[in-house]
Amino acid sequence: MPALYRLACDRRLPPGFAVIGTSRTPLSDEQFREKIRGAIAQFSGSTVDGDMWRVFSGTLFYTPGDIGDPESYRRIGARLADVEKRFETGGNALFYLATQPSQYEAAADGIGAAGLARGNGWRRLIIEKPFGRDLASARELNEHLQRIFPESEIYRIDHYLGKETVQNILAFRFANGIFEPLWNRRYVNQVQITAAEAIGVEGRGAYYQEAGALRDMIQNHLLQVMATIGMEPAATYEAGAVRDERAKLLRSVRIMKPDEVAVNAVAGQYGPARLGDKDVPGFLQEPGVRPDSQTDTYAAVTLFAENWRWAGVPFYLRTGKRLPRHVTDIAIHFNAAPHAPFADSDSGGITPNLLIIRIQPEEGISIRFLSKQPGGGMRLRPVSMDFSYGASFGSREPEAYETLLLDAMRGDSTLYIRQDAVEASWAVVEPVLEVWGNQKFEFPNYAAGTWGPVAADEMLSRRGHVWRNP
Amino acid sequence: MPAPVSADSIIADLNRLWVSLADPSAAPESQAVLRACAMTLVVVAEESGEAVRIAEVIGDVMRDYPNRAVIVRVREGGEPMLDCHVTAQCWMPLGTRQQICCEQIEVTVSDSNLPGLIPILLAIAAPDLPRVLWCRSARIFRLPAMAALFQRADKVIVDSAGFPDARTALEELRSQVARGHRVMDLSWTRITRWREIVAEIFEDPARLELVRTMRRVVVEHAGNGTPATAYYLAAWVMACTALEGVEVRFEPVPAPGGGIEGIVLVSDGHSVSVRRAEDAAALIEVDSLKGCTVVPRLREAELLRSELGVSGRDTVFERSVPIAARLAGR
Repeated sequence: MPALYRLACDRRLPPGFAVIGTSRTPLSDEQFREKIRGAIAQFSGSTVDGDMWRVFSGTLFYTPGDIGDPESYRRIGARLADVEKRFETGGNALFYLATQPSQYEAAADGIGAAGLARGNGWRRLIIEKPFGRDLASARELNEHLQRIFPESEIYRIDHYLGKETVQNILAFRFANGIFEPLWNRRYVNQVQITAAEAIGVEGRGAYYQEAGALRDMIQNHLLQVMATIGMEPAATYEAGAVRDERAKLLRSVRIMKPDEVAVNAVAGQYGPARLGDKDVPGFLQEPGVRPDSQTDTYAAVTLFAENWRWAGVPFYLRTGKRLPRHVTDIAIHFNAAPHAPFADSDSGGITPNLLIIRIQPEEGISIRFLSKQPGGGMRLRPVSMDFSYGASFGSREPEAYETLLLDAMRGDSTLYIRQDAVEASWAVVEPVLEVWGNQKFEFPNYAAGTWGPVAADEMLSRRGHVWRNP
Repeated sequence: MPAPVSADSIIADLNRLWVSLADPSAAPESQAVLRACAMTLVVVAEESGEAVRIAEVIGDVMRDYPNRAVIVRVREGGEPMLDCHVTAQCWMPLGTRQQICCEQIEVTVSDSNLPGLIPILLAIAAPDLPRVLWCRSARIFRLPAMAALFQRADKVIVDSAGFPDARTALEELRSQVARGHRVMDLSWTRITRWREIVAEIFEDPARLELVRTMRRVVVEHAGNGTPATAYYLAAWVMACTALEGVEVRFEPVPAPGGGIEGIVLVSDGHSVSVRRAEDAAALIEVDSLKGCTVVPRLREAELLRSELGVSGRDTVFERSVPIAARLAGR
């Protein structure tokens, strides 16, 4: 709702817009509006403007109901018809399931049975990850939803794809002539994608221990980022073309054999530590977590895209909780210069060029290269050339959900995940999940506030690489 | 109640700082500032005193080595505390209208919270650029919590002149170097000019005979106790010549300060001496030949700037430290 409110403030919502909220809590329209106002004040990071709120709140309605109760959908249908007349929505409706994933099928069934999946205008369904718990359940979910909505009207949100900087990867790669010629196995030595969180599970221990880092982050967000980094250029910036290329990249990722998992994937779980002026608990000490939990709060994998462009280039993906800082970035490590004429100079070690795409929090792009230090002798020093979104563009950057919700209303699914990409992603992580599921780990294996377990360093050192710490 | 200090909160503050500095509405007549950062320089010092002096030194070296400066003031004993704020250090180079700015993060921490601060310091280092730690206190240098910083720093700079005695300082430095840490001592930097002068004397191949037959090295110094610089200079000669059985002497001479006042190399029939003649000059005598050269007394900022200019390992220093420690321990 904060995203919708910000869109309203920016006057980017389409005409004929209204929201019908539903949940089991009995609320009047007015009570619903007050609740939303509180949420906006809390999460939007700005104060709620009086005039704007009066206009926006007039588009908010509420109908209590239960997901499993057919009568609830009949009431929603009646409200939809009412809103259609009052706001001239043209019969268009977007169903956003902000529910537990386990209830997606029941909710879609209810919508379908009440005849709400078809109408005078378009009818679309938005769901959020996780899309299944494994390949089989993802396929089952897809098949189920497609019985009610056509695939073209199912919008699977991965909010990473809505981030400005992730979208900018495409602009960076395909709108500039100087980078794309280097974007291949001949010049790129390795790619590291890091999504680090400084926080722990923050009271969501019970939920998180059923998911884990591999399922929660790598299967969706990081594989989508990898696909965006590695995909071939699409002929046009249209949903079908871009999503085809992303899916192709994911399908080209080599599926690990069970005996390859030990050297290409690392699981971790954080232990307690003192950070700053406070003691932070380990995962096993978090409320709601089983004392013998084997959940991975850290996961790192080495993947290879088996195609002409990327053959032999490792893609290292890692994510974790309670790492030193909240940061998501992509580091493209280029090959070192073929000959180092300055090998004997005081260089502190010749370091290869790096291109860093920072997704959050300091959105921007950096290039690292070596430069001669002013003065006598040939003393080299790494320097960094920085582009910062915040400092370069004065305007407010839209939040991922603003972009994604607006796209869904416009019928642009470019930044949404298609069924084949979901299934390809599950196919990549499933062998790892299976091996880990049958393994007993010695957890915890990294202290809170560090960059993960030693085994993750060893995974890279086997190829002569080291993690770059953002 | 202030928000807890974390790497994320510091990075967010820096981000806000740069966005505000880049805002053209704040100063429409000026051009955008240039963010400059070639390294992270972490300065760890005692909280008591020195604040102004550190700020001056950092401001001085920043123009040649723009850096993300993290100044950590450690409070000995007392209540546990941790406080932090960020600022920008800006200057406008002569003849330009664009300001150059560097980040400065000031942290005050109690001893007890220092271990919890270390992961934060590591996390806020500017990525992909050298990380230099300048530890200004012998007490803090010895704290076990500092080990993680030493391990991850590209260079650790200390000044053994600030240690209670040279013998302990050199032994501690030897131990750090043996562990593979890239430790450097500003006392070593102080003898750079002396090493240059001696090395230049032996650029003439005819004088190498003196090196081969050297019997005695005498390092003259001011003050009663032998300073680390004296041990370093003698150790450097020993490391360069690799001779056995050379007598090494340290002789106090009446002079102000506590630095090196001269070096004498004696062999069969030959003698080389370099002696400070005035405040910034030295007299060179090679057998009967005499000459004069400049030996400036460097300020702390100049010493630091000189050290920051060396980005790789100083293998000559690493070879000399164990010898210096051995000489000091005799």
